[in-house]
Amino acid sequence: VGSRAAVAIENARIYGERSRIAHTLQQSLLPEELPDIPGYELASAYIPAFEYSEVGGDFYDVWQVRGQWMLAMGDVTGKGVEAAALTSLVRHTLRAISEFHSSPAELLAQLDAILRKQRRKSICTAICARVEPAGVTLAVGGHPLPICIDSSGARPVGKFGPLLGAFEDVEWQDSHVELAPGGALVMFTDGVTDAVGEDGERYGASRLRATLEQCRQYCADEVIQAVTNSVQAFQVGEHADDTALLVLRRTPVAAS
Amino acid sequence: MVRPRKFEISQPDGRSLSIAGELDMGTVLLLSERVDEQLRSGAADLILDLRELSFMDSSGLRLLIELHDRSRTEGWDLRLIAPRNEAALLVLRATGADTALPFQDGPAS
Repeated sequence: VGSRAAVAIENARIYGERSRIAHTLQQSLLPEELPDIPGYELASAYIPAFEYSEVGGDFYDVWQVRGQWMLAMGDVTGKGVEAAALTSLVRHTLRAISEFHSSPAELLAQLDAILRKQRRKSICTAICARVEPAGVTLAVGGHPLPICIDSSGARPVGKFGPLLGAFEDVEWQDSHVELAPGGALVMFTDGVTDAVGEDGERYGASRLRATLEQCRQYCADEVIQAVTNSVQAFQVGEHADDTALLVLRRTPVAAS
Repeated sequence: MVRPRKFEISQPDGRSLSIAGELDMGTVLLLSERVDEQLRSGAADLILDLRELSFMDSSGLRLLIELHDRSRTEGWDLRLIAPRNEAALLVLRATGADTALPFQDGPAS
């Protein structure tokens, strides 16, 4: 069952027209609702940054192509409207390329080639994953590795690959990640780990992993809630960066 | 709320800038301006010493990539000294920047 945990930080500040447009554009680049993927649960959260005009855009996407479900998440560096336009380019390019290629590593390579043809330096991170009956095949470009939660705990999966649109002569690799029934894959952007707490300390990868260790029995929505609650409890002041989370969980076997 | 942030740029010699503290979206502009200043003064090469960085986010990384591109189009020489901080180093390794950017003494390892 797909559902979406919408998390938003409201604030009363009046934004300039430019940041308002950027924000509207950014929101329009996220799926309105998550689809149902047979055999899986899906949940997501997007927490926009406090100062929209000053930061780049996180995005995630879920789509079906040639009978297969694809997931993508990424973080576009850059600012405001420009970043939102680039996010749109990245999202639609991935969808378009997926009509012709099914390897996530190949999708990232093709996206990289297109980004490097842009007149303006266009850099982004991305994870691209193809959903399979018992897991996913995924490739990572300059993005934090997703975390797999199963009965034995929480651990990062996949292989680091280069940032997209940034470097010459680079390549990406596909990794297969098995998901047992009840196992989950958690994708996140650096807004989670870079969140600032007391004394300037960052939330960090180990704190995230510790939080996810506690989520072994959770459904996809509960995983999202656990992470957003933990980050918001940790963080001091306003959220400085966009934050996106996407959880894909294999439907557990019903207790008999 | 403004959090006190540790960020310092010092200039040990004519062509080096040493950066200490957190290079993130809140401080990256300071470094960018300082580098511009340095280049305007006619410096033909630039060494960015990142050893004392305690944190670097994607906006810091973006600046390094942009400076590298710029050095090649404008014909000046950029060299980087890798951070010692594990998390900052991980940002470089996880993005391929450790091998793609001109780190002194080869890739950051």
